[in-house]
Amino acid sequence: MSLTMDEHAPVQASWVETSTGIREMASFFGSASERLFGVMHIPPAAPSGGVVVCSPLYAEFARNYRREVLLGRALAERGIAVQRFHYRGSGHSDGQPGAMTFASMVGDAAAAVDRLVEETGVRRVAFVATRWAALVAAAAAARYDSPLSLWQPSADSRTYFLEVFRAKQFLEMVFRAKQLLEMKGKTADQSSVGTLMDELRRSECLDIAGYPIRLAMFESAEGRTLLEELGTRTRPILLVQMSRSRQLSAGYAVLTAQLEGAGFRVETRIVPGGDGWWFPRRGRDREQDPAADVAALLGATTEWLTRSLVGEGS
Amino acid sequence: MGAERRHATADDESPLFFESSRETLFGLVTHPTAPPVGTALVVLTGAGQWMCAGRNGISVRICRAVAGAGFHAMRFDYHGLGDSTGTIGALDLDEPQVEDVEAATNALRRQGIERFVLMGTCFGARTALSSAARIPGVQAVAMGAIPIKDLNIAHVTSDRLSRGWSRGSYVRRILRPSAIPRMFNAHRRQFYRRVLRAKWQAFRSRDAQEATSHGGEDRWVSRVFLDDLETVIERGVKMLFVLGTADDSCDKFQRARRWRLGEALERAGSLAEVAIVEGSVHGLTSIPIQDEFTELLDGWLCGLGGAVGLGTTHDHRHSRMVTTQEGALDP
Repeated sequence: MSLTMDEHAPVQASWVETSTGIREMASFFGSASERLFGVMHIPPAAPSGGVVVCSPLYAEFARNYRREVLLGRALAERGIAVQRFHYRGSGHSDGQPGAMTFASMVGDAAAAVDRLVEETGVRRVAFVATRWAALVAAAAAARYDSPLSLWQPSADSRTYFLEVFRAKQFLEMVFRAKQLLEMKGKTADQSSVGTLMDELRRSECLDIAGYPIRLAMFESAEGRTLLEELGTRTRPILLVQMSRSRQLSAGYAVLTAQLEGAGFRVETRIVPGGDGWWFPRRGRDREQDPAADVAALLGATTEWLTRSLVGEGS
Repeated sequence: MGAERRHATADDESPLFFESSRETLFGLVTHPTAPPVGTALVVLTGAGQWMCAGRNGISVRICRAVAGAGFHAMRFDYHGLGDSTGTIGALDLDEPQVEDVEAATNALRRQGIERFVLMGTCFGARTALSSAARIPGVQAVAMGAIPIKDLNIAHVTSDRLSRGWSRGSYVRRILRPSAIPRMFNAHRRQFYRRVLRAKWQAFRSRDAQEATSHGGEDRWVSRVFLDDLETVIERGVKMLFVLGTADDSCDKFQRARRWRLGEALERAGSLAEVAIVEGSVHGLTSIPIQDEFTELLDGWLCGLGGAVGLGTTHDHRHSRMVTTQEGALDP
């Protein structure tokens, strides 16, 4: 292994895994006023294609992070260059969380594509996206005619934010139960989705487990669906359901039918895992995912992406 | 945070990779935006955070804020997490990631920094304390919601747990969001039932109070924690303990002060400050607590003065809390 810290470019550092020749490069890039942070996984030989990873948001961002790192390494081993990045207003990137919108996220994904192409010269780029970021990737991919691998995607914004609100309701319920059982006095009333919506519109921010859901983001996402963001040019799509169930969920069966009806070539995979997006295991269970679950997810994704990018050639 | 400060941005940060044992760790160094004081704050993540930005980017905010007071700052991923290499298994609180912290401080030494302040919450706090006891150059350590009882759940029987868990902590445990999915697991349900049954028997025999404190002694308090604390005091390292009124760890900390912990804190004198804030510091799971914790840390850091290279006393202000040796609440 060799390490370098580029003295003349202090916003960039890289290391090379000597056994594989894969280079990982961490850098800040994009607009000088608001830099994006990203890590690129670069194969030793000229890459046969590129992948941009669109991370999910809020608690799901951290929850999925290690899977995305491991995906980057697995794809680089297969000769595919990968760019991961943090949206402006999140992670290590510049920017205020309150300024994040659907449009800014799509713009960040496009900047990540530019960065990948500029650095590696790849001519074909695919996207991997998780949860609600599937809509962001779909909108970005429409510009590049790119294949998409979607991990446990949200079919539309409404469904996603309802799930987020339910996470808050669940946390409130647990808190109230604790207060009651420990006889710690009066408890707050349980919020309904309606009251949470009202609170969001009134205060412009909803605190869910320490993550701010901003009104600007909510409104910019309102009414958006995966099908509409994909556009009209049909492309291959991999839909990965992460669940203990071995059957495709009713929601994904409908989504698959809709996508196929619109002319997209959809493949589905079911891999174990995906539980606890907002309520991760803690303490000794910090090992976030059983290795076999991650291997199944990465195996399905790398095989499909390699086929989509390399098999079909560019 | 001081209004006149210029907080750092990405342009003031350098990503870096460095070695720890056989792994390559990833971290980011924030360079000071004010005249450098020659001290670096190293931010350590707690359990449940899988990369070093922290919940809602709190570690990023802390690093960029203290840079405005002349500190270098560093956040990094432990091996097996975030952008670092390796794998990480089950974590034990009495086996913190000191090697990784040592590798991080060595990386900073190569940039000419010799004085360090460590901070972390939960598991990060235990790692910070253990590191302060072993790594030269650590001047101060800030610890949020530090667990003083080792969790080694896989290795203890339900009978021992029934003594170790208070009724309150049992209720909190079974109501944790992460416990709910486990209720669908037959083995886990059986395990909870065994603990409950043993607890009930202990309660009926009017032994509950004694069982909780193991007969009025502090054997339930981590030996590693106490030994590290005493070493840190001997080294003259300044300490800040931040406890949240809603946390288990706060109750335990206060209870343990009756014994060796209390004696150690008394011996530490002005080296140790205990701050109690309303709510839960563990996991920093609300935005107001994140803001309060950040402000508290910033005030304490700047109040350390000469110990960390600050020539003058900065505005040292703790909001909505009081710093006392007794840990009394006095908003």
